[in-house]
Amino acid sequence: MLDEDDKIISLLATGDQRAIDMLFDRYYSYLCNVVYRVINDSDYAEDVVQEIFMDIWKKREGINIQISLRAYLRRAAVNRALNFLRKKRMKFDETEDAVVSIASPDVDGQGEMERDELEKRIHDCIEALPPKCKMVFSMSRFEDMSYREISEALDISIKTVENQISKALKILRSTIQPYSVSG
Amino acid sequence: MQDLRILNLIHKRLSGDISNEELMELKSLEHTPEYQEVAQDIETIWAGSKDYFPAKKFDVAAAKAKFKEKIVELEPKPTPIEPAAPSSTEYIAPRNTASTTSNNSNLLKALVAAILLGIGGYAVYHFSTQATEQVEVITAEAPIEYAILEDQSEIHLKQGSVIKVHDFDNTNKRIVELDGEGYFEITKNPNKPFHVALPNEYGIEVLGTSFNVISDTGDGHAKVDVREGTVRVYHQNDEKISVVLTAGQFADIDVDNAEIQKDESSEIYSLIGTSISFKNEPLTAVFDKLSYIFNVDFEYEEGNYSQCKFNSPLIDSFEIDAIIELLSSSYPSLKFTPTGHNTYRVSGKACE
Repeated sequence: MLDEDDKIISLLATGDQRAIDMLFDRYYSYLCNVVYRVINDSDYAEDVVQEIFMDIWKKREGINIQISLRAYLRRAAVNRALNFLRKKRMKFDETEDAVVSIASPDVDGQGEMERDELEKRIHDCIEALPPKCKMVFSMSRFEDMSYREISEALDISIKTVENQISKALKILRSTIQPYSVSG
Repeated sequence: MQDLRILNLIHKRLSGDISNEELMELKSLEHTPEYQEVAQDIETIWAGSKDYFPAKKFDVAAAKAKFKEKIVELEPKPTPIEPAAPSSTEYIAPRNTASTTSNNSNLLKALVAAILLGIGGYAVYHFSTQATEQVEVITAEAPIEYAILEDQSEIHLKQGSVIKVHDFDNTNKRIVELDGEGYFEITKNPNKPFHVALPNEYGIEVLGTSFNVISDTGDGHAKVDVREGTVRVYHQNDEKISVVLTAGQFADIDVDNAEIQKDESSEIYSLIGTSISFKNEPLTAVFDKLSYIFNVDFEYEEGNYSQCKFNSPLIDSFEIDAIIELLSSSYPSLKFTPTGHNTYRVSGKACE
């Protein structure tokens, strides 16, 4: 029995538009968030995913995906996001204010908080990081990119990468202090 | 300032991106009060951030409608019927499922020779050749397919890739067309340069060298990665768009924008040569590479394995089982459990 991805691929190969519905329902939001996690621009994220689906649609007759469809789409999304960043040649302002406001946790400092609650707090804090800082941290944490790869992708120095990572970690650290043993 | 340095070093260690010098530096700081304060927090952040994924809502229905409008615009408009072109046939080679071993190379040579004797005509779309020219088509069915051409050039094709080999005898060029990924070791013949045509109007001219080509990386780009010698990457319809690459360089072809960028070689794009090796690479990167080459997935808890560095000698086997056996023997407490369709569950502590 075909799984859903196999079904999408086989429908695509025959030009059946039900493949489009399935692709969008299954992967659109996921891929938009994959791109958004790196570049923090939801409009661009949507454009990228439209382009990826359009490429697949154009190539549908000879489509040949050798890894899982999810992995293929994810790779295409990340590659496009990185190409976008490479071309954009962003300016990193090292003195950019890093004010992140996360509601204070309701802890008394005595007991150990639930892991889920701590995770949620970390996730909220990542969400609220300054955009460029979040981008560099995300590339390291979620795309497994080395400092060098990040510096090349963004056309910035390794020192700037280090500074942005430090900034992200400092902010994140301040938000977990109430839970922290050392805090 | 020391706090920041420690913070960076711990992050580098956790992300598997730390040099030996930095590791030594970190060790020397381990007994400072700053280290004690920072280390646990950063490890908590690292572990707690691994599952972060934005929960931004996107309007799927609107996006779907927009997409469907676009594809209606793409539909071909009716055109007057042209007189029928002379018929042409394409010789399709028998599918070869052998992997790369010296034992099967003779068989492959014979197979390729047999293929080259095949008759048929094929109309090519970029290079000007005769309409009835003989073309050999090789489709890679094994993870890495190996073939020797009549000029003794060797090709390793990634699974699913297709190469069309034009007749070398009656032209002043050796022309192949690649759709997919191939690693080439081309025999020198200055009088008859070797050309690789890609489906996106780009081509690669070679005198004698080894290089890797991916005709479509999935994002509207193509990659050419040179291991030895020199190649020229060019647009077939615009010779001004052209770069020369030497060993250790790669070209990133942006098909949509008609641009070629040259840079130093990136490992990920030259994986399928005659052997695989890992040089002090985090296990997570090893899993990524194996996933890429063998089309398998690895499921594992993040965080544990990025700190372990794997070194291997050149591995000549293109069997995933053999490589997993090597990993298992290098990390005895690591367990690889097949969990279904081309997926392995990785469990156990690797290097603590």
